[in-house]
Amino acid sequence: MMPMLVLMIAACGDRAADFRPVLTDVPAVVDLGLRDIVTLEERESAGFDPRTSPNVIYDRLGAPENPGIFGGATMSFLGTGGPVCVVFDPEAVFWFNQLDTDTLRRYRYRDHIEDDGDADLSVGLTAYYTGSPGVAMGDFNAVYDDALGTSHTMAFNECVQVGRFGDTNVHSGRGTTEFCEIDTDQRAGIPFTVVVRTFALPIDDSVLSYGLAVYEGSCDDIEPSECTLPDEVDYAEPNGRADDAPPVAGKEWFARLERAVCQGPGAVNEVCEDPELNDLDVPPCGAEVP
Amino acid sequence: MRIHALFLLPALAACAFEETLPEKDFRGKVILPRAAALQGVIGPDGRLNETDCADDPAACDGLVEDMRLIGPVYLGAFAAIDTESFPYPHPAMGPVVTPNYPGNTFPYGGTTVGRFEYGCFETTSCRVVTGRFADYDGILDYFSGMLGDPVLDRDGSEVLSPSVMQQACFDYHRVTSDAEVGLVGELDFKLNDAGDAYEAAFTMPHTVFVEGMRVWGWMDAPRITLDAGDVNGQFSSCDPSTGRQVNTYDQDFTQGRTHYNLLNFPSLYIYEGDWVSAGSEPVMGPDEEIIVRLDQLVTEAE
Repeated sequence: MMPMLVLMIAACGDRAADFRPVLTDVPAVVDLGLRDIVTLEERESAGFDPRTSPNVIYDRLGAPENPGIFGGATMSFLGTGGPVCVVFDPEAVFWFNQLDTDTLRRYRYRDHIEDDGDADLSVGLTAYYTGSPGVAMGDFNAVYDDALGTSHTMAFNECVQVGRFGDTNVHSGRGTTEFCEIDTDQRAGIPFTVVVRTFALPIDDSVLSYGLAVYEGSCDDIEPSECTLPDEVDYAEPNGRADDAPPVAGKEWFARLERAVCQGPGAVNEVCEDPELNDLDVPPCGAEVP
Repeated sequence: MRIHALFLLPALAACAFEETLPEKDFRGKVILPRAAALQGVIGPDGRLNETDCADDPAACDGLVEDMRLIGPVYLGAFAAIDTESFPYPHPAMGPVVTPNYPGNTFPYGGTTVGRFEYGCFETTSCRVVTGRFADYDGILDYFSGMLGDPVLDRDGSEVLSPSVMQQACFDYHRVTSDAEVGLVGELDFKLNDAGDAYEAAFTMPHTVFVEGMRVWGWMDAPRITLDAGDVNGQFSSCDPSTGRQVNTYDQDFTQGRTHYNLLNFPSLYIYEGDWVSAGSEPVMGPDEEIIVRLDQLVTEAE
């Protein structure tokens, strides 16, 4: 009995190692500084492409040396006096295998989840941010002591995302875009901080590529989705990406798969059934749904 | 047997173990003046008596006093009472962060006396409170005789029989007893011995005890009006656009549910005609009986 127990415990230990992020040369905590936002004029211009816009950020996050510390990225922008839409798109793409191809009611292939990272978006006035940009992540919480001396946490995060069932204080899951609208009325020129806190790095390489942008105007006009900030893997190369640069090694399929997801389930099947892509170490799609 | 006894002793000792948690169950009594159950109603003639008799009891003759007009009562434990920020006593708030939006009151806990329950027909959404109706007949009479707006079935015909309503509730909730439906049964409020006020017992469970805290609350009165049929008989503390979705055959609507931040931002939901408390005496121990008098009529709300 005892030897069996030892073997079982050892087996559990081996599995956990597969999910532990590995250290890379990609920093865990990044400050992107004060950035210009994507103006309405830029967004509506004929040649606007998020991938080449200087006001759209594509970057990467890695694992921290101390596994008990949350990593993430911060950036600041100035209030416009009106609504702005903050959009964050983590690597890679995600779909439910319950969702087909022939009937458009169910995908035929499962999402390959090991390429998906997850980070949580929050936005607030810079004055309320408790972190040290580029050094340690913080939040927008403060402590208030009431008349009887009891301490309460006050949340100054203004990024309210609404869940599927109408509940607030929610975040998207792995590989899924997060966004929220911030009303900067009466606060033109006041600095706001965008916080992207790493929740989970992709299991395949422990590097989370992402796209991040602040758009002038309402999210109702932007309609953020996976397709709003395309190609976050290839364009997250340090120091930008040259026009003739090859795709990221091991993820050559990413841009094609993302475009397919934006086109619909039928296009996804074409990618998932491409024998060349499925011979890769990390295939774009998971197993076929029975 | 001896071995069993050995196991039993530690088990009994565990039941007596004091965990020293800061949360306690508080018990007390809510007292409402009779005027809180007094309203102008829409009678069978379709007319509404809106006379305000708060300062002139003689003018109350045209009004109806009925316990079914007592709305849900919301109670919370707070650090202090603020008598300056609003035209009525209100729990002390934390910092006001967003312009034109109140600060959070940070309640230590709370409870209700009566809650919204779906009345099994769409027309009852956000208009039925538990603990106010002794039987189904009382509900049908309340809608037809006091709101001037009878309960309608899915075909748009008036529901006249209590047994039809009961059966609809059993079918809808898939239950077999009134107790499981929760709409009818023992009433929460009773007239006191002096006959001058309604009283109801309450339990405020799992509330953080802070010495000196005060229990405050308000009664959300039904809005009875001829001006807007879709809100007639509704309560400001109920959100008709959320809650369980009903999509069965030809039915497509939302049940409605209580707003989720009533105690944190009560001023968003208090309107003229509601009754508020000035706050209980400071609570100095978890075993005290707490008396909350909702004796202040809101005549002006922000």
